[in-house]
Amino acid sequence: MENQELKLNGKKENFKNENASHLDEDQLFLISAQKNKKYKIEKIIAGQSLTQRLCSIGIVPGEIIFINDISNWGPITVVVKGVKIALGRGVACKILLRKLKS
Amino acid sequence: MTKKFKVALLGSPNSGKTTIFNELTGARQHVGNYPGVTVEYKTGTINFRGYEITFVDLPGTYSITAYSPEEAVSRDYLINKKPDIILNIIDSSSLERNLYLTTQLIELNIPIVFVFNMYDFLEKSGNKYNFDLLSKLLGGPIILTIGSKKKGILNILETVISLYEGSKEKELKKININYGDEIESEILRISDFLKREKFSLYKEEDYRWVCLRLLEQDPEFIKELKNKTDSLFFNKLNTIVTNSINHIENILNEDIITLMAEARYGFIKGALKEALITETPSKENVTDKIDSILINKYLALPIFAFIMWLMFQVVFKIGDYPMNWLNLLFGKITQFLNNVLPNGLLKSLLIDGIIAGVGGVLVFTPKIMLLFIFIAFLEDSGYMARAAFIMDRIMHKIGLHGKSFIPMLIGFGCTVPAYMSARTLENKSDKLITMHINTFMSCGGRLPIYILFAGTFFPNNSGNVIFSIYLIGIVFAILMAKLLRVTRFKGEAEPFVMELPSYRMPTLKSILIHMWERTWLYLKKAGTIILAISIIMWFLFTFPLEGPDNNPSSLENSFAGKIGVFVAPVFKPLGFDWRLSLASLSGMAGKEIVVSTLGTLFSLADKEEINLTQNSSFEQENTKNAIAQNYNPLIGYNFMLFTLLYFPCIASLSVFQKEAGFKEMIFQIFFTLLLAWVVSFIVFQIGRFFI
Repeated sequence: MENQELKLNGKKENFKNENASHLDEDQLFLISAQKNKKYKIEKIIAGQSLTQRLCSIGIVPGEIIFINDISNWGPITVVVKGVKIALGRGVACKILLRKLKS
Repeated sequence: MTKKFKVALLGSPNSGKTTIFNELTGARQHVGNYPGVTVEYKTGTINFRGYEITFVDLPGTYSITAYSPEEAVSRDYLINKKPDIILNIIDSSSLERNLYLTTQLIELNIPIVFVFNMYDFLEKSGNKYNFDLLSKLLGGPIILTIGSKKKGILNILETVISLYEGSKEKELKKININYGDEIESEILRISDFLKREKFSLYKEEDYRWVCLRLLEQDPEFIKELKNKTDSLFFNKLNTIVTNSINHIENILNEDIITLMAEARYGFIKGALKEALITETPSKENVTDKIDSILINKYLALPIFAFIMWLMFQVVFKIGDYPMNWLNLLFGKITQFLNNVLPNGLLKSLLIDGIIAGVGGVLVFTPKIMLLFIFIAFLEDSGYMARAAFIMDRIMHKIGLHGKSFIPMLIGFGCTVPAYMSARTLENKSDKLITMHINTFMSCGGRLPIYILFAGTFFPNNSGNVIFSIYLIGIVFAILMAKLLRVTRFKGEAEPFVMELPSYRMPTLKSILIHMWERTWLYLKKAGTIILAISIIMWFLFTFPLEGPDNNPSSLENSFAGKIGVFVAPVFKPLGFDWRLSLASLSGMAGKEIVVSTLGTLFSLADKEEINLTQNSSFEQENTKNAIAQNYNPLIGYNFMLFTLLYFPCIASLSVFQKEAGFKEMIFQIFFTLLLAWVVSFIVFQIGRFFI
């Protein structure tokens, strides 16, 4: 899939496990998610400002996220807590998801 | 003795807060600015049942942890101006998300009323709640409203009064959200420290709130503490808080901001679950169906382009009719004054100065209004968010944010409201770049210049020629945005996170109010700055009254003329003579004025005859002929290019300075002037060989 750029914008290095090469088989970043599928939000790996923004708009670990539209170009639309949100691709690289067990 | 109190309205964007504010205050509102921060707030005062109630509409935000100016302003108002009551407007169709802000508000020690707006959506969704129970869980009365249908407004007023009178206080207690054992114990630890240090900046009952802000590392709050406390205390506090945060994050292996957010949503989920009576699974809604077309991978851009094209057609074609009526009106007024007033300076001031100058701006008002109506419709219906989303990919390529596109669109009408709408850009660099390139979105005021020159030199092709100028403007906007991003404003555009609200049918009232807010700025500009400058211009053109040999002074001998001749050498390499240079200078007052200045410069009448306004067909023909005789197509096109590229009128510049600061305004002046000069120079010098 796509090259995933991880930018840990000055985030404190508390999460030694969150490295792209250490993802287990059920983890993936939002940028690699598939259209029309639901996932569970596992972690947000971003600076304080973006984390706060995402949390306040509903994107918070533990929540179910539905991928409304995702393609090779342009922003991505998702639905969280009943609200439709558009996210830039850079932002999508910072949201770690876990596949749902069907 | 009338009892007075203040009610602050807070809510997420798209919650219908503005509609409710408008219903509560009617026409009695005042739009102003917070001192020192350029974010709008509105107040409106009404008299109801013997009370004088002032409503303050604070900016729509998702949270009040101050990462952006709007959030800081809201938080600041709540802490320092202490309203008597908070009116929290909540979009009922997305309760869970909307209540996030609510959890932050109930932690302030201010009586709060919850307005569950758009209640009809909640009813339709089938979920039923026990609102009495929910109001106890949240700590405030709940009112159900449908703002767009004016339902529930009276209820709000009555509840607000009874809350003020304290009659509900006994029923509702202060709610504390439990953040989990680890965080709660750290809150205690920090509170104890504050007690020991006798921290007096905030009351002891507010210590919990202070601890929460510290743990969240709210930047504005920390800055405020640093400024207002002595450094010994601040350093000790810093150490304790840092230790607390590290302790929490290590034990729970999660960053504290996320932990606190999770605790808030946990509280919300718990409260909603307890108050839920029946639940209905959600089905695909109308919004999703519409979006499957409007933001469809293949259809999105063509549909968007079509809507933009439609907008310009409406504005320019339909807008012509009222514009012509206004022209006629001004013509009639001029004739009347011509007949009624004795010849002399007053007549000349009124007709040549004021009516010519201000009238030239006012005739464009219908077109501006149409543009703003269209934009208000797109915004209120929810499509504008989709447009920003669609444009984001393109904007991103030139280093801008999808939201930058809205000020750029408004800039095609008038730069003044365009600069103000750039406030939605949270990131300072994004905002500054968007403002700097806005001048290339050719504003309505430049249109008469294009019409005149294109009509004279390219009579069969004038529409296409004018379109080419607009296109060149867009190209330069893109180039300059890229250049600025790479040089002065290094860094990346703000991450794109934007809610796509449900589609809704805008009410006529809200469209008109939004349109009027922006149009009023345009008119205010005409009535103040442009009026003042028109008078100054008139003065410069009319005086001195007598030239050498005591003959009536010709135009070249007026102050204006002398200025024109003085700057002419700068413009000579561009192919412009002293008249064109002077006309360009007059454009600083307002681009619309350039044409009337040219008209005046070419008028063959002496001072005794009164010139009709530049829009009379007689005068237009005169000016057209004069231009055709004195210049050629190359110079004509070059002048249009120059007009396109150099900085906007003084009214816009003054708003630029308010929004971005004096230094940035100076930069805008020099950078655009230099660009305009260089481009016109190249075009003229190369074009010469072909003419």
